Amino acid sequence: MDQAELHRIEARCIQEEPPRCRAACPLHVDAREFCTLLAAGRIDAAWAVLCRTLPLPGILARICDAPCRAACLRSQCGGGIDMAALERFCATSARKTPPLHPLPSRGKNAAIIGCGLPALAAAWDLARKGFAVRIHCRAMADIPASAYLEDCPTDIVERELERLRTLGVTFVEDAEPAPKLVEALLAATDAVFVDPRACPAEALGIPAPDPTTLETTRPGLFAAPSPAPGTSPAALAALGRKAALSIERLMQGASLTAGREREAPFASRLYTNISDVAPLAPVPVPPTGYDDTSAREEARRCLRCECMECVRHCAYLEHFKGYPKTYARQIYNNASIVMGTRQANTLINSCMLCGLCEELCPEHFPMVALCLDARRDMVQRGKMPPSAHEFALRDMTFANGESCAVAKLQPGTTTNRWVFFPGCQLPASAPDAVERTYAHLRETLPGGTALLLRCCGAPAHWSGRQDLFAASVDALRADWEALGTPTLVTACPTCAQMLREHLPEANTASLWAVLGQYGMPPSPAVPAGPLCLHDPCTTRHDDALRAQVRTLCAALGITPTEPSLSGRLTECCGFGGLLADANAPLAATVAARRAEKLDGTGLTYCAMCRDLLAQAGKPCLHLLDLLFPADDTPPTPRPAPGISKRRENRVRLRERLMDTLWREANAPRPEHESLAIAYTPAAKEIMEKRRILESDVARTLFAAKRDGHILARAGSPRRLATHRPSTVTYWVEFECDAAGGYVVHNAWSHRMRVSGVES
Amino acid sequence: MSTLKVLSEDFSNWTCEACGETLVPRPVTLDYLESRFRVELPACPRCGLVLVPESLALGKMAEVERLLEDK
Amino acid sequence: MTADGCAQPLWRHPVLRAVAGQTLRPGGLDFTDQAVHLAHIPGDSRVLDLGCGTGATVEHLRSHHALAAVGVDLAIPQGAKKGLPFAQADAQSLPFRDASLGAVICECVLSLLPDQRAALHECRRVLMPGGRLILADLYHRSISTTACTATTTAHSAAKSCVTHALNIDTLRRDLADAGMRVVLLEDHTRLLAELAARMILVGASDILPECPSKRPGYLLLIAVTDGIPTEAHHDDG
Repeated sequence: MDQAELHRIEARCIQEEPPRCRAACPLHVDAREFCTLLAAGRIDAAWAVLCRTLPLPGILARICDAPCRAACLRSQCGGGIDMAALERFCATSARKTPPLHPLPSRGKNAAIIGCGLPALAAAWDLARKGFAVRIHCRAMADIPASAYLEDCPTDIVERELERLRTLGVTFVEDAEPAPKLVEALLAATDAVFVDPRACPAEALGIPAPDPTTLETTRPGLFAAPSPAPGTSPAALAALGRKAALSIERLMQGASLTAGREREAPFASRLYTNISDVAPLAPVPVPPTGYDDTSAREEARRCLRCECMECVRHCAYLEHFKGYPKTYARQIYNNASIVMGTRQANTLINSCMLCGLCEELCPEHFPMVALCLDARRDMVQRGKMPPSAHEFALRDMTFANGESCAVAKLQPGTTTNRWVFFPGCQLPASAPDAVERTYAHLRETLPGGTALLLRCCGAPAHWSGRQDLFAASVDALRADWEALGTPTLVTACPTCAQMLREHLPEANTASLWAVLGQYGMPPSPAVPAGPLCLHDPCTTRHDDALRAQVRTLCAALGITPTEPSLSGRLTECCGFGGLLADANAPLAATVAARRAEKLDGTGLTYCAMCRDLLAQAGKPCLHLLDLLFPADDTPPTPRPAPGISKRRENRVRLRERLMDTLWREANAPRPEHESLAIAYTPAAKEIMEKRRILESDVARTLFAAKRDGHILARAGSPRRLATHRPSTVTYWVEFECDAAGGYVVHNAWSHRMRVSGVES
Repeated sequence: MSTLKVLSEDFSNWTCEACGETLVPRPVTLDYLESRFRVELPACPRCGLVLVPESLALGKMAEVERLLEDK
Repeated sequence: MTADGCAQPLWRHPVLRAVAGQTLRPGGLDFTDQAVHLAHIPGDSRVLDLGCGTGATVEHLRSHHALAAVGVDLAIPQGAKKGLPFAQADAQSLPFRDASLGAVICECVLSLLPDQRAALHECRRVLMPGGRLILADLYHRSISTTACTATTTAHSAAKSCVTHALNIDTLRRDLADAGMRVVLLEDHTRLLAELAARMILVGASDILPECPSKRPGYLLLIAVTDGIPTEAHHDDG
């Protein structure tokens, strides 16, 4: 991804767009920040916000007519924020005005003709930027009338003019704003601005100035047409500010036009969801203006407009304390540096790739593609941390290995119209249900049903391992072709999605549709109590599949409720994108949050969703638990099997099917499986948490015994075995029992490779 | 670069079962990704088998692994 | 080079000497060698090590690179070798004539200076045309530097390069303003990570100041003086 592409993507996130008030203000005062501070009672800090933006803030804050109010989003729920009254309150109540820090002199002169608000604002800005400024006017006594300052206390006006003088602005009186004066000043100074209140551009006898820059056909001369009657004081000041910026750029030899698109009031692209906002009327302004209490109350009505639609609904986006635009920048480090490394890999690897944020985003910010591309890029450049997805990829390899994988025609047939493809997680989670489902399909589907047990490749896809994923899809295709390209009957929504996108030549049908069409199981069982349907996130864009499930529920006579975010807006359970591998605590948070949203017993049709919600403490059923119950009692939610149990479930399922259906001998078991190993409950719990499999322990004990890699401790019956099969070193603390078996007490692992040094 | 002392406990009650030797502090290297560190760990003076106690594996080592992965 | 009234700065910490050697920098003198080779310093020119500390780098540059190296530091170096050319001075007023040096090396120092702009302008002043500025320092790898600055000034930990990592955008602008052109900018965060890893291994990770923004990165930057210094420009933010 190049910089231009990144900027295009960044621009789709509107969180940093200014609030409507700021966009509508001719001077772009940050009314949101101002109100936030005022609502917190921080009057001086709020005043500093105004002083940062307004020229002659003491004056302007008192005469502002708040053009932002019409744009304020609050006007749709009660009435716009009364910024004018709040500014007056703030100007009169603030105790500390931030000091002005003018820049050092640049040795450049600017002359201004007139003394209206545009002239004073231009002088303020130019003087702060280090220019020597002279204001030429008839008499300083004209200032209040020229600058609409009649309502402003005389002492305040005098104080602000004094600050102008302090900045180095000189007032020259008895000046007639005639074209003659313009000529004289152009000859004597670097730039001249003519305040349109004193002498509009049309009176100068030159073509109209450029509306964006106020430059005229005369180099160095800046002017403006006469402002319409009733022009807001803020707009008049903005006119002066525009001239000052043009003059500064002229002096610097910079482009006068570049990057000025949003100098005038504009419409912000910021979206703020106000569907939950209760209407609230403005706080009435007493004749003496707001006091502390009423000002705070009015400022509190500010909605503090921001988007955050996606962040509000995603624990992942919330966790990293930013929003998609900042994440894009962190992911594609925009410092144009020859980056040897990529930061933020936990950020990149923690996205569930579920697409909810894109569904919620008004601009459909492509977070999924961003993270997936970044993962692929990390993999390609050898920068993907090995620990990130290793466990899931090992699991995938195992599921596709000879002890789990099956690709067989229905016993006693030579061609099959169908093949049941339950995926790799359903056999790991509910092997008996898989077995019963396959039996039912063999009986009901016309034309024979083959069985395909393997992984669809999703883990490789999610981890950015394109090579591995392509190999996995190729192997799947080869199996499917060897079975005679039957229609793939999927039970896992992730498999369905993967096949649709990556094996488009195959016909697929969901198990739920097939059951509806060719016959329901004879004795389904429905649990007592309310059920709540959780749509897996991989069904987000599969309206048909979600509808089939609901049809099936109706056929079972159940009408489950649905959580607030459901269907196209469903939430991931925490398995998506291999989150649990990269960031286990966050995955647990995600699952727990989703579990909380389900009323009663959860019902879903993805094995991983079922298991992770169950792990989060939510009683949760898989649709197959209802359709193919173990007996005729109503199904009760089972606990989630642990990591070792999942593997064992797959192995045993294959063994059983090969044995009973195809009458084939199973492959001999690896040597380490012959060891008699018992685990203390504590060891089991620790291994689950540390993701150490029973097979890892068995292999370690076997190899350590063979290689003599065992350490003993004086006075303790426990010994320590160690083994490094490839990238991880395992340590197993064990005891031997009388019968020659092992009792395992503890296990740990590390990735660093330890090697001896010749001393 | 000097050898870093990472353990303060005494491991003189540990022996290597295969060699029957008592473990002694020895300089060893820890390699991870592209980085290498020289540290002192208890090891068998004969066969070089090194002990990595649980606290080290799950503490400092895990922290360094995370640091080097995350950079 | 610390702010007044601070606790013990990171670079004075005895543990840092144990894990980072004499130079107290990520990568140590090997990294300095790499930088000097990349910079193609004009032969037999005078080279300044700005913020030279104990003078280990000055000595190394003289003995291994045959460069006429001199050191400048705010404080008289403790335990420096006798006879090394050294001056006690502020980075903003270096005791050298205009255009008199072939290179200025500034490793893990710029981020500690109170006025980086002024220091860069001063470096530009003392460098001859075509002279090299070699910077190695910590930089912010994320954009949210404001949070970091706010918090660090709030609890004012010992001022260190970790809490005051450079902002690359600001640095680029300041260099351009000073009339220097960036010819090389590389990330060497791994060196920093390894230094932090050694801290962790010896159990001293707690002395690393916590920066609430992303962990800083480590960069090598080489700039050449061939531009014209410009007037300061500011943004009225």
